[in-house]
Amino acid sequence: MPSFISSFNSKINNWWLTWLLSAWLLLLSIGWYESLLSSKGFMPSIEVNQDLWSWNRRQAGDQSNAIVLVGASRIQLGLDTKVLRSELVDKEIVPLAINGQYPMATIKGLAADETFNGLVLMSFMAQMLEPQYEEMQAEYNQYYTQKSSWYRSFDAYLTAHIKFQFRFLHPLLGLNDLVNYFSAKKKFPDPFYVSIYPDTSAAGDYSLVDVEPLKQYFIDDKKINYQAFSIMDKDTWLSQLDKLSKYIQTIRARGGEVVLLRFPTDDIHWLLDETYYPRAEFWDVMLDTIPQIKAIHFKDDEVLNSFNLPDSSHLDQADTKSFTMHIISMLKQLQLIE
Amino acid sequence: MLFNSLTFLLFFFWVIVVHYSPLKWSFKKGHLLLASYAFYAAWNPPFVLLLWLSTLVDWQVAKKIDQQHQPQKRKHWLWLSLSINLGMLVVFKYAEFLLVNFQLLLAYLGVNVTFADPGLILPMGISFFTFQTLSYTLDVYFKRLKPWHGFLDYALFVGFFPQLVAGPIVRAKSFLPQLIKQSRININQFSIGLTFFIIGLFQKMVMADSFFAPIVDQVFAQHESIDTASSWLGSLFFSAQIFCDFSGYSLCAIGLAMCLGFVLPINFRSPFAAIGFSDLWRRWHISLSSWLRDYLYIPLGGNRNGDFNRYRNLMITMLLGGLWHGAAWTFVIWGALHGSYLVIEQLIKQSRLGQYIKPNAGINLCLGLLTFFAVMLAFVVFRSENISQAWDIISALFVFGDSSNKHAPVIEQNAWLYLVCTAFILMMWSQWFMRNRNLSEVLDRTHAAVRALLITGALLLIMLSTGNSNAFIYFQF
Repeated sequence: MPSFISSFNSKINNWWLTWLLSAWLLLLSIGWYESLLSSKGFMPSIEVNQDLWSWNRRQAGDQSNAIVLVGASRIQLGLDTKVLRSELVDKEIVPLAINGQYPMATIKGLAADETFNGLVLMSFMAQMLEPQYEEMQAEYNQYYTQKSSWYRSFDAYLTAHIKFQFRFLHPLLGLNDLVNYFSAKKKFPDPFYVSIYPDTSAAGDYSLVDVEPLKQYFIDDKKINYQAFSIMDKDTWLSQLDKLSKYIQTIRARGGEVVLLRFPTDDIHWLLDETYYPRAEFWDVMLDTIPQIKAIHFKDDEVLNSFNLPDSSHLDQADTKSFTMHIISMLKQLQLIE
Repeated sequence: MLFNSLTFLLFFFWVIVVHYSPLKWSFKKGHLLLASYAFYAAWNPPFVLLLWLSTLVDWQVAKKIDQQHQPQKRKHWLWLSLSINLGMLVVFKYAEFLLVNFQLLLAYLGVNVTFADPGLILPMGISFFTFQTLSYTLDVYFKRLKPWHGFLDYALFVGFFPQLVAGPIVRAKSFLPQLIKQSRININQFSIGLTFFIIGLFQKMVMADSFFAPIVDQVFAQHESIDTASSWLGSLFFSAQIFCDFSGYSLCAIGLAMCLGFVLPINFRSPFAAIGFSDLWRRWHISLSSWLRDYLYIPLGGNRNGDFNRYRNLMITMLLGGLWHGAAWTFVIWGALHGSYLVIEQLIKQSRLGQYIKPNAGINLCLGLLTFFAVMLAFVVFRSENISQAWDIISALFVFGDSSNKHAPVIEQNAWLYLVCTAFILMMWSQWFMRNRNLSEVLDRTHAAVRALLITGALLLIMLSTGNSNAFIYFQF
């Protein structure tokens, strides 16, 4: 044994004191910072990574009682998974939405997964079938099939649950973000309006932000996005629908089902959607081409159309419970759940 | 399993509980072995088979070598071990590299053949555990060691989880005797081990991943339009990143082993405070450099047989040492640069200039900075994906007021950059401060309250940096 270890015994060390002081200082620092963040209105949140997504994706397989939520931010913020779980106790709720990414690759992945025969609720809009958006979630799906391991997924799941217990572990309150924000604005950041839960679903508290500029930002951003590419022609739309239809048929053939949900957008946003992807030329054509498809459009339902959308396309957390309850009742009407 | 993961903390807690339970030592060793295999299998379960293969082969071969008295037969058994261990390395690590270069050679000779990409996954830590098992066989072959009596002890020596995937590369004669009976450690030893682990995590998660890596990645990604200042920052910070990453891992491994009552060899001793390249290699990745010295450089002839052979042996050792790090020409060049540095240093030491220089604090500092600068240049090649990228970065380092500075700065000057620069300066200062000191002794002599402040600060910064964490760089080697 090296001399530095053997000589320990002859020295007076205060390691007990060190650990006691460390624990005290750590608890004091974390306690103070947590209460500061709490008083400022911060909520805990986590970051969705490929391992955490893979953990959820694993739950989708081998379970005929799975209800899989597929899409991007609208379904992530729109459907309250707590409500789904409490209302549909015999179902396994599996959120697979990825913020900012259209889900064609995920529906393709679910179709290719021989073990999957659950119910898919897919947030749908015509733009997501544009060929350039097809691979948006491919990276997550490839990671799941090729690289993920049970250990890494479990570690991500565990980490997400522990991080969600503490506000100071918010992904936007990292050292780098704090230093840069503080030096640029000379103040502490304001609370963030979106919180992501450990199951990767999310909630938006729009009372924390000035909604008008945010709404304008989203509208402008959507306009730029629509103008950036030419809109697909009818043939492309039909051929893309054919692809989607095949994925849906494959899932159905195994006993599963897919429901396309057109989430609400407010009037200005809807006008923009109608300018670039008119319902008559896209959604209605889809229903005519694939008559067996299960689809819900917010414009066809008075309740869905009545929700307030603070930023023009996402629901506030105050409304998600009633929105989710209404979706559940619609699914029951369609006899997709009991 | 990654040290910087919550699952590992749970795993280690379980290991500690069983290790200090009133069970028999033989049971505890068996448990440690199983835990080590679980640790490795967490990454990719089938690859445990490779670890078992390497373990079994060298266990048997070492016994056979010891039983044989005819040198020729001993040599045959040694070749078997070398073939299997190095064969695994060639297949999993170098197959693609060899195929691509063979294809290029054939194309150069006018034969156009395309080989399919073998698409093999590199088993984590294969370079480390194969070198560790080989050292056992080689020690038995060179009659420095008798084969160990217990297979489970030997298997634990190969698979001991703290050092399994990224070293330090442990020698059988220093580790196996520690398995004879359980070391009784006290609170001080356990605390030093735990503090090592925390410092190692701090080096990895805060310094390497949070401070240095994002800037380095940005610089190397934009190498084609890099400006001089950014090139310097990227090069300096990569040196710091790789040190903090690898030294952090080693310190975690040593600390964890210490918590379990085992002593692993120190792997880094303030390498950026080295004065000269011989000194550097006594401070950087010590367990590998001593392995290469004992099992490659000395068997090649070492310092014997004249200057030319000595320099040749140095170059061969460093080239192979470079290749050990990865299957790419950039690693070979990195090794060649270090070989050249060592040869040039030897030449200078033997020249009149070398005899004229009388070391003092000022000269030592200048030589230290010169050494660090040369090491940094070599690290630029090490980090680059190809030679062209390395050239872009290195040429930008030396282009003052010319085309390089016409580019907009890649690295933005902001508060974060100043913080990272401060961290870099503190890291360099700590290397000089610790140059002739031992971390355990420094910790031992530090006031309890100061230690508590440092530990708390490190833990808080680790927690605030958790979002940026990556796998350890040396896992890929």
